[in-house]
Amino acid sequence: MDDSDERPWWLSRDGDAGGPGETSDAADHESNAQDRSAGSTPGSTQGWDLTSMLGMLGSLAGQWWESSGAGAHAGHDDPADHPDCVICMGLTRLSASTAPEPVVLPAVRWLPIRRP
Amino acid sequence: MSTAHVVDLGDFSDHPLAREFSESFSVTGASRVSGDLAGAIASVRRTAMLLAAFDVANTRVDPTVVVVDGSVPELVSDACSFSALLQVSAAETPLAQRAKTMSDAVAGGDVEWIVVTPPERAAMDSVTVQVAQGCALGLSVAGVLVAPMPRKRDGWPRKIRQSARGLVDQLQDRLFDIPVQRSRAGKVPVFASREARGIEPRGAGPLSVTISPESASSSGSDGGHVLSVTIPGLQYCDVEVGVWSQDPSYPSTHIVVRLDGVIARIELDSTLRRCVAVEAVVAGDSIAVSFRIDPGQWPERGLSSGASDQGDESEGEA
Repeated sequence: MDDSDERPWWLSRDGDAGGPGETSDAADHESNAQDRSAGSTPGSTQGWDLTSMLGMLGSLAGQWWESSGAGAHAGHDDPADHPDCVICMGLTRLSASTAPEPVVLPAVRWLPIRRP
Repeated sequence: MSTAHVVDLGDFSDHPLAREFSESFSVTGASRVSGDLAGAIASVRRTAMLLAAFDVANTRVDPTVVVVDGSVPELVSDACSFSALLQVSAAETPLAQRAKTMSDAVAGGDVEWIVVTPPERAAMDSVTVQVAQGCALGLSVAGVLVAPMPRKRDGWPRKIRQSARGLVDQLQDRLFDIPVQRSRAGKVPVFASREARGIEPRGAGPLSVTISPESASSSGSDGGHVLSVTIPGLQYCDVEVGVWSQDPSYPSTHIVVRLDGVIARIELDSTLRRCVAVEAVVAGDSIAVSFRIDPGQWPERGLSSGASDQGDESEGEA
């Protein structure tokens, strides 16, 4: 692929650079440096090697995991005991929507037995 | 009986009603599953087949004989429990109505049971318990057929033949008014009806239930009642007695008798529904449950007048 081609915006690695055609000069400079350093690396794509992409995805997943509260949820046993937890609340609502309340027969009161 | 329609319970495994019932009680989607899951599924399946068999038999003019392997009381008890469950849940479905029709027929003595057993001691002990369970459920036990008896022509020694006959006599002693007949291969005896045997029908079903005023000397209480139930073979069972209320307006609507794990419910009349069960006395083949008046259920009269009003009542109900 020709380096002079305009790169997709999502490869800018610059969060401030918005959409296509808005890549800043600084970002271009950084990208070119990346290209030079990684140009001969097998598996490199548009100046991004697979390792760094996976690292970025992993980082994003970690941030999402932390922000979602899933880490805290891992210690929750009964969803009904944690109404503030989003995941527990979802699980509670899901179970309530799929299973009706079970019909429970009234309990038998067993009597004392006397054997004369 | 020669024109009877004979079917096997297993023939109803693919009956549409059996499928409908099984699906209605499917464990899929249940929020909680506890206990013996495999046993519960088997119970639902057998109950469904019994319901289908009853549905078919109920529309025929000639009698239908359903051949059932395994414990008939367990099967009937499960079916009656499912019916009670449907009634408690107020399910107004055709299926619930069919289940109620069947359980009412059982409780009313409209379903006859012929028990077949080999002449072996362990089998006889099991049959004794099963007959007691069946009677408590309301099944009309036509009789016990012991077969095949060992025959001389088949080479059985005299001692074994005598022992087998002794076991039959012993079983008859245990079950008093339930006829026990022995048969050699190929011959089926005819069991006489209860009326032909001089047994008068008592109440709605075959179960012997009486209600009488409690004697003051026995309890010192102020005007209670005693409900007595006589069940053949009861003394050979592990017995538990309790009360259960299907209607929250009353302290209890049924007596619950558990015999070797099989539960039978005996419906109470309007008087005993307004009383509180105190204790059960088990002696021989009889259970006597004492009740005391529940003041909250008799607002219009005092305790003593409430008791005397029902004092000489004696009736059968099952």
